[in-house]
Amino acid sequence: MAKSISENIKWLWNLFASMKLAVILLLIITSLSLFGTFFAPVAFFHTGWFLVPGFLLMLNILVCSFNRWQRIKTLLQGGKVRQPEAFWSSTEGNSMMTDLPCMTASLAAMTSDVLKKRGYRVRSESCSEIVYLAADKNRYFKLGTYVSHLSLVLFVLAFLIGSAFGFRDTGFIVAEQETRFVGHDTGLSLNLLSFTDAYYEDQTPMDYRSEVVLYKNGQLVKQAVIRVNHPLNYEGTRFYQSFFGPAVRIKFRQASQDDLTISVALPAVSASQGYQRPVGSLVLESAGLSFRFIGSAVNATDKIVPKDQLAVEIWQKNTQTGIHILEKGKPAKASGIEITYLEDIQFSGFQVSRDPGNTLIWIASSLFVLGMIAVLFFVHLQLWIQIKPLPTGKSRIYLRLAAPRGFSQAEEMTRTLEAIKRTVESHP
Amino acid sequence: MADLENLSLTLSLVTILMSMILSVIAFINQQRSARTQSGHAVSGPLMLWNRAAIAMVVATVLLITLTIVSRAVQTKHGPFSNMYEFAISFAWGIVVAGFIFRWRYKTDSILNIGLFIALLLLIFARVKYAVPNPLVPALQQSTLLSIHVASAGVAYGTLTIGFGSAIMYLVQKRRNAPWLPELELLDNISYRAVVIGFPFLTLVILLGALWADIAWGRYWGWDPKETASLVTWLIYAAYLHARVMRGWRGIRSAWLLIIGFAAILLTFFGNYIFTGLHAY
Repeated sequence: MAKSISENIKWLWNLFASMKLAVILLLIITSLSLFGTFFAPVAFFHTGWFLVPGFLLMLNILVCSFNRWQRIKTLLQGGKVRQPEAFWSSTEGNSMMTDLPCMTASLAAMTSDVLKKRGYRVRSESCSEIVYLAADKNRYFKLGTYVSHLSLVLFVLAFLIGSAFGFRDTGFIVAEQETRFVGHDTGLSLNLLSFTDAYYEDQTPMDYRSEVVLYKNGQLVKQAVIRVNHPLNYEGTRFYQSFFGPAVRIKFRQASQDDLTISVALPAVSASQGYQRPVGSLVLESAGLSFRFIGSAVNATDKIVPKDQLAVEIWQKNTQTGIHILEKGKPAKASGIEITYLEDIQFSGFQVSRDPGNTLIWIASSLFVLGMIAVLFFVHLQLWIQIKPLPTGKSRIYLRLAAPRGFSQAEEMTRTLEAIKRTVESHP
Repeated sequence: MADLENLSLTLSLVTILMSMILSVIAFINQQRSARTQSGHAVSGPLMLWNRAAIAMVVATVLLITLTIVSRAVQTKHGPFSNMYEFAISFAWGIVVAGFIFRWRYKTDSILNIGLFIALLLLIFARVKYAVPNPLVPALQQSTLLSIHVASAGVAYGTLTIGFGSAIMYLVQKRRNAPWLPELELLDNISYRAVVIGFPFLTLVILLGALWADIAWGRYWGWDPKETASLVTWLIYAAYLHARVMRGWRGIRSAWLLIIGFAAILLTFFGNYIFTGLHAY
């Protein structure tokens, strides 16, 4: 039974150490991404159907990385210097041989110098007048795979950190002259001084600007202009210009209380009888009332709520107590309060977010690029050389190169051999 | 300046077509010459046809560059703000990449496939001509916009050459044609194209994410074009892993490159199929 468990674990380990599985998972994720794009809502990417293959790929990457470590470690250390005789009798294109008029020991020393100049690490061994050299280049760049794979794990970690400890409010609406609390234990509140939307001559949008003041626990901490591509960042909480719309300034006058002037955003749309009207609401706790303001239609000439007029529904404990049409600048009495529709203003919609995983994302991105460059552009080369004396007084030098397929092995060996020949010729 | 842009674009269509015709003439003459004087070096007139074809390719690069520059002078930004401008950049990437690969590997056939795709893109650009318009707020991030889309031009251009090489590989595998490069070389060209194009493709996605984070406050939103570019990236990542680690060569990897190029086309034309944040 115990053997069976260990066999199963070994089977699972081998399965996840398999590059074949990685390629299959990559293709599955690719297909699911295509399916998600064409046939499913965005929420599909947050379901198990998509997340499980992603998790399996992460597991695959981790196991593959562990599994390859021993081989990478051997590569970094350099492996065997002296190779058996059969190794040198290869007829493949990755080996070369020539005879040079030089003693074995001097040729080995000169070859070693040439290789070092060409960026190789050189190790040597001698055995009965034969000298063996093992040289390698770019060995540490082999670790690039680990750097890339680590970055993928960091991407997932960053996503988890962001989900667990961050927040995202995609509809943070503030009307001009209004101050709103951000919440989420930030202690921040944002006051919108003004919002400006500017257009080119052909009416395409040119700029959206929100001039804001940021308070922390009631203290002014920052004044800034938020624009698209220019978010406001304060201690990791970021405010992005997102959308905008109409708002109104309303003055409330109640008996034995100071006048209260409030900005009310009208971000919602009420569609009725072919009219699309902007709608916003407000709760006036001091009066125990809530209000629903309805602006003039934006898609047609509104006969019920004409331009420069505002409809207001007044509610008390879920019961509508009245509906009134307010004329701009003219006070109206309703439910015991005097309400004045002062002016039209605008609201600005922000996306507010805090993502503690954000920095990790950019670290992971940088690591990924560095790892990829290391793997793709710094090819690991291993060169084995055997130098042995000939009865003629010359020495025979064999070269054998190991490099990824696609790398011009013959070119590298020819260059190396030419450099060795030149060095031998320059030494009488 | 608009006249210069139109003129250079039209002339580039002519030169690219001419270079293809000249290549075909050079090829036919080469076949005749091979039959009549086998074993002889390339004859004078034959070399002339080849040189004329290459001269037309150089002229094409210069004319597309002129189109891009004259457009940039009008718009005050890189040619990266709509399908018309990006199609021209894409074509430029293909022709330049094809020319470099032709110079490096001394083979015309892959360049010609690249030229054909570039020709289609330039015709598409001609049809989709857009009057220069100022940038909307989201696109007013010239540094990131320029590098993001320029990287896409380089990546797509290079990967198109990889696609051309994969097509040639499949043809060569089936027909064993003496006029086509050897299978080993074609496989190698495909791999080299991906090795160059893949990092740029990665840069496109990373810079796009960085830009999205600055503009919209999230680095990834599963926007269709984002997803399509991720799909493209995953296919090429699978290709590299399959080739480097599993030793995939030949037909299987050639088919992966063809699927990869289909994903590039899906990403490029994606905004005509699905809606999203990307206008092009």
